[in-house]
Amino acid sequence: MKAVIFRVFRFDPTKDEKPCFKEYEITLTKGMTILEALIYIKEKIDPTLSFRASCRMGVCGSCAMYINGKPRLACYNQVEDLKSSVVSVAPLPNYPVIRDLVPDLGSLFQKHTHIKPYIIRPDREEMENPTGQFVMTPHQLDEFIQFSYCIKCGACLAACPTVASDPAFLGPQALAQAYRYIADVRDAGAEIRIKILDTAHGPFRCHFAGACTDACPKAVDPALGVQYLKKHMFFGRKQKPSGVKPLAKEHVPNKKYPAPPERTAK
Amino acid sequence: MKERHWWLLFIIAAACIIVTLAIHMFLMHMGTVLGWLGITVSDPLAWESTLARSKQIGMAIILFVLLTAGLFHGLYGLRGILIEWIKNPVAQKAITWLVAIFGVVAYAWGLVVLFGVYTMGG
Repeated sequence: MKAVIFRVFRFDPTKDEKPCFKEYEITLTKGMTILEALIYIKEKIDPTLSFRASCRMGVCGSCAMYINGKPRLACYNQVEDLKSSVVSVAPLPNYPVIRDLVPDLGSLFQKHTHIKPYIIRPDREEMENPTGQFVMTPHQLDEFIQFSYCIKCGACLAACPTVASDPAFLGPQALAQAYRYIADVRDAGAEIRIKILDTAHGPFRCHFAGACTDACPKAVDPALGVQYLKKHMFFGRKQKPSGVKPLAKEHVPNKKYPAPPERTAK
Repeated sequence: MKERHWWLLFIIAAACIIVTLAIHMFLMHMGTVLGWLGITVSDPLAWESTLARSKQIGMAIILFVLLTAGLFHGLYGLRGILIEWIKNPVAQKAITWLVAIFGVVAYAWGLVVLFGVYTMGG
């Protein structure tokens, strides 16, 4: 089995003056991911190592780290695929470090919350006590579906050169999410969001580097979202939310097929 | 005016610069350019040529557009760089105002020079 050196960023702001890199030698097993290697280090070599992880299958976005010079999900990348005998692991750039590989993602969530990432509608009563369903065509869904795959791992902000130079820049994650909700036909909050976005740190601060798209582990294209958002801010029509009058019809059983059995489970 | 409107003007100014600067460069260096094509013209930088050009209304319009677009595009870009460089929000606001004031003064000065050139020689 091949041995690999892991150069891991170590820093405890409560004790250490400066961060440093510590090396650990690991014998690879077939299909071993970066996360599994880190878990191995924590369990067998150095229990003081701190990192964040949860689902281990690229869904939760907790284990985003700066691996061999690129923001990646530790659980989503196998050590062998890096094709390197030395693997460097550091916390995501552009965030303060809480400890070792754990970044403080507060700014990510603050920016995300700032753009109101939820459906805004005038008919609050219908939202809270729905009388039917809101209709959306597949074409309308295609307008934003890829942006809703964002898992909020923070890799895009870590890769963004504009966030590095302007921490107040809303960043690709929040901007793409703003577009995701503006493009949603059920939403009527475009004007509210555009008011929030139309500042010196909004979409017009973007440098078009495209590093966010390159870094996204879920193949979302936040750079495209930012460009769509700009386009909408100039040419977007005033939205009328769909289905203000819920369009769902009462269910009419089809006589061709037998009726389904009564539900007994509570 | 919101940020998006300033940004749109910034982009329009860039397009204007491409056109007017190209015309300006061609006129200033047309002797060289036409020389490549085998055509000989009088020196465009000579006093008589400069004076004759400055009397043309078309040339004055081109220089006016170049001055307006170049100054706005450059100063908006400078403001963007400074806003990213200086993190303090109060200082960022002050930068916007300082750049705007500098822009107005420089524009007024540019217009005086432009008008002076247009009316030069009576």
